[in-house]
Amino acid sequence: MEYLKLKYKEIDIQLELQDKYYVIDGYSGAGKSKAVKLIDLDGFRKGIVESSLPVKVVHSVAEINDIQDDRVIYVTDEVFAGRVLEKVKGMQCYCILISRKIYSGTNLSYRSYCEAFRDGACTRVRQKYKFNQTAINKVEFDMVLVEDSGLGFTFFEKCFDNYLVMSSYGKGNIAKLLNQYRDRDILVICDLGGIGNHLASMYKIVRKRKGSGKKTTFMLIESFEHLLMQTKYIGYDYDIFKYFDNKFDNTEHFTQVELERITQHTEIEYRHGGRSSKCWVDNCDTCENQNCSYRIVGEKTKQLLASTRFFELVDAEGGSGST
Amino acid sequence: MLKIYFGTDEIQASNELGLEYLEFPDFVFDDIITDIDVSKDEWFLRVLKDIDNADMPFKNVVRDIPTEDTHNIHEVSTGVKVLWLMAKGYKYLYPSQWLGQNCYAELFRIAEMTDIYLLDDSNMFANDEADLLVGEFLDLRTNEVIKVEDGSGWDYVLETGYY
Repeated sequence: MEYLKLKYKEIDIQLELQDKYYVIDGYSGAGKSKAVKLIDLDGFRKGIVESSLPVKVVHSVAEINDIQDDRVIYVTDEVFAGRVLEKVKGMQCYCILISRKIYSGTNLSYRSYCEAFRDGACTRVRQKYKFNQTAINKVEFDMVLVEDSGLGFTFFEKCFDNYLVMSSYGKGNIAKLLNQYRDRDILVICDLGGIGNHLASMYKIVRKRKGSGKKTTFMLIESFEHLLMQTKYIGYDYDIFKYFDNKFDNTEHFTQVELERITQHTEIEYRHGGRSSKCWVDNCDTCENQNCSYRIVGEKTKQLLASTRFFELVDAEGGSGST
Repeated sequence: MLKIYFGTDEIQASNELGLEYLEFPDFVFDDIITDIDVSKDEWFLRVLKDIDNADMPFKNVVRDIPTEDTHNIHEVSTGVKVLWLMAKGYKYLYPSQWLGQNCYAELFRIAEMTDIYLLDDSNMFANDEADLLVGEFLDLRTNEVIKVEDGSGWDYVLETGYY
């Protein structure tokens, strides 16, 4: 895994880079700008920065125009963050943005958001939103909220046929629905690989719900496609980072493209945003093709779900200001 | 009064309100402060202590209290710089991204004295410190005055879908 470490006097920052993008915010005076300046000083005094890839601070339009290297960690602050974000799309580099702004044009992972904080005199950085893994027998929910509205919704509606299953029709409405259904324990199934921009809103509601005794549990998947890739139809490794390529910007996009590639010209052909094969959701006993290699006897979606690591569920516990 | 434009499109907001968007707060502050001594300014010293945990032992020399390191005034946090510009009446469209959540209480205090135009491009009411705010703001999109207490700012943002 790639990494970036900054250590000089009261700055002690360590970041392990799985995803392409990281956004660091935090209180005013936490030392974010100082950390960026410190990277610049590394050229004068070796040992301040330790990293697995070259690090470049971007602080001018000319430097944005010069961005072309794939195997680089680019770091920039609020002034240039939006433009750098646009420039590095589709590149294999890593990008650390020091900014509080919401960049709605790019889907960022739930791992992407970090906050700088003062630990006594020392400036450190930590992941902003934490998930605590929960044993399956401790999970309680009476409603399932699904981000997807198409095949994903149909799939989970069949998996959880004894529950109220509702689509949020996108990431933006999850917080609103969590608030609206405050009297229910809810399992949220959303694309965590691209949910980052909405996490602040979601966590705000999750904490409120927790205060009133209601549970909110998340399924730990990068995307619906990530789940389908793990089924016995495909058997893809759960650890997406063995294959993830940064040019896809986030794991949500990567899994969408990867599932399309794997299933192309098969009975289970998947098309993101298009018409996918109904073989993912229709039971095989209604199908005339008795010799199909994808044939499953019984309730298909439940069996497919059971063959995945779906049962890795997490509670939302941490979040901004949890110091 | 605090007047908030919800959204992230600074160009649209700036055009609609006829106000210059504060794109480079550090540059603006540094340019102004060169000719001003703020080491006797009680308001500035209080905010510097509250936000940056720093004081000023000499003219425009700032000392970080935990480390006792000193630096010049240009190194104070952007949050303190922006609050100072607001408090001194500089008319800009201020993006909320320049303010950490530890600046929100002071923002509301300043807005009791003067009009502040804020572009909320960082979903400020989703932050914990926003739950402690007491006051009001004008929603520039609806011209509605919204009372803020016990986290009602976030309730309004959630209800309207601004988040």
